[in-house]
Amino acid sequence: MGRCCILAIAAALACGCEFPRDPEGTLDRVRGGVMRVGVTHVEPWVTVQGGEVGGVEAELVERFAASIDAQVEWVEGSESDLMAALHGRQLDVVIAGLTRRSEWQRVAALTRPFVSYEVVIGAPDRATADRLSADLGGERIAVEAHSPEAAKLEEDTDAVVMPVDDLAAVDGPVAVPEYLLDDLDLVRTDAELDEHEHAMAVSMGENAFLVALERFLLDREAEAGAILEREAKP
Amino acid sequence: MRYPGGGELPPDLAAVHRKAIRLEWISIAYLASAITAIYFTLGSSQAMKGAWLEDMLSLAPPIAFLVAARIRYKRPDAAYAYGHHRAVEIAFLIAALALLSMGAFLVVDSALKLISGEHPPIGMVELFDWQVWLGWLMLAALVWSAVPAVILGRMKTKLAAPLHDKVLYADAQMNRADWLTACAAIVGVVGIGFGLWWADAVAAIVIGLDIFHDGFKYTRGAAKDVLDGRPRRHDEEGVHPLVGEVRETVASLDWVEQAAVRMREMGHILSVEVLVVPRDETGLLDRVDAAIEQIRALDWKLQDVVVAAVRELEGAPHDVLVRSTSIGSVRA
Repeated sequence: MGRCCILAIAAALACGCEFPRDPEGTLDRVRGGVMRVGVTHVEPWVTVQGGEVGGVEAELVERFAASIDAQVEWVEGSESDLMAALHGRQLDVVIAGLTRRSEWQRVAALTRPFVSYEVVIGAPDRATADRLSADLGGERIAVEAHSPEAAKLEEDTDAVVMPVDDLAAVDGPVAVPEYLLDDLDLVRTDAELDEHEHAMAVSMGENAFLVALERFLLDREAEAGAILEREAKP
Repeated sequence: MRYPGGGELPPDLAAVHRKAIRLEWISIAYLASAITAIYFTLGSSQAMKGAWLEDMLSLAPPIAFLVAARIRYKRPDAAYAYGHHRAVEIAFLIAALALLSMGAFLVVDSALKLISGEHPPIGMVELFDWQVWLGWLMLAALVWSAVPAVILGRMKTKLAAPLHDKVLYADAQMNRADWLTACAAIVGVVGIGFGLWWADAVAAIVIGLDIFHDGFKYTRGAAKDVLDGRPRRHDEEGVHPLVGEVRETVASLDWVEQAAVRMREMGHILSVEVLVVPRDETGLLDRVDAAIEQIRALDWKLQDVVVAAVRELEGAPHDVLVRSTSIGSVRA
């Protein structure tokens, strides 16, 4: 049995053909053809305004499509609808600000993360930052109202949660994604609330397509970071 | 007669047993490393969760063996007048059940995957700036997990026969199951690479059925031992040859009219009870003692031997009875 395996692997390498391959041939169909991409409006990752699709992930998808000479066909819908369509192979990619921890990994293949960032507590000055790094207990921390960051702050820390609508107007400590620290002129503390690893979803088992997309994304982590900096202005 | 004690093995076999204990410790260390490695490297993938669970199950036989190895030598006392030999039987049952559940898990899990048409995704990973298809890493990990299992399994099989150790034998079968599963997974990963999404599940079902069959055989064997069934070989291939030898020995005793021979397994050793209807009572005590020594001399496994003289054997099943074959029987 072991010998058969070695032979099979050798055969795969020797013929130089595509390995891994797609069971349903997605990559072959998309290359030079149409790539069907499901989108849901999630700022700053995907923005859908009057039929115009933009955002960090949309931009990356367009660049990937260009690299394999494909036309992008955008399909807007709820995350649940898009995932159902993706599972049934009616879509090739879904972008909706998904993270690696998403529950969807049971029905779709998630790519390697192309952008990772932490949600941290930012302080207005160095002294406050040092104090917050040591202990958050009883501190009043501002956070965007109704956001997952607010939930995390409430659940995981003893801080007093101060929901606000505009983070830029706050002058105390704030819980924010780390890429906003500079824009808000904040000092980073050691208090980390959460880590987000953003990924795209492709059809289960279409491994040639998955590997092609992942290779593209892994080579462009810096590029993706730069787009995020540009798109995500508070 | 000497009261049956807790010590079981002749000195040369005690050395073999110490070797077996060492092997089982190595197995546990190896399995622990494999379990940790899989948990940390491939913990997020659904397919690898199966491999992880299997490795956890493979821990059961060595642990059962080592626990039994500590208990079985304890000397008999008021609470356990027969000694603690049957600890080995409990361990055998545990090892057999672990094998059975591993087979059942593989078959059911893979069948469900096949029915749901699940296409396993295997993407890229990045190791220190080196991008590689995860499938290659999986193949390397699987080969690495198969090789030690083959070696450990073969060594254990060799030791199990002289020790009459069913736990060790079942554990060797578990190691066989481990490397077979790894091979199935290798076929699966290569198949997925060629775009055959079902290869993984089909290979696992074939091997799962084989493991289930083995597990069933040993679980049935362990249940028979618990039920005081007739002693069987350590590999569950037929009746133990000592059963025939003891019956022949009893039949050859010229003072025996008829006798009922009851044998059962108590872990490594076999327990023998012979209920004898003597022809006459002259020198009965000497004869009984001599008979016990003669049976004990057959094999080191025959330590717990009781010969009881009785007036009659009423209602004894005819296939349990032994009639004397000695020339004296012509007289009777």
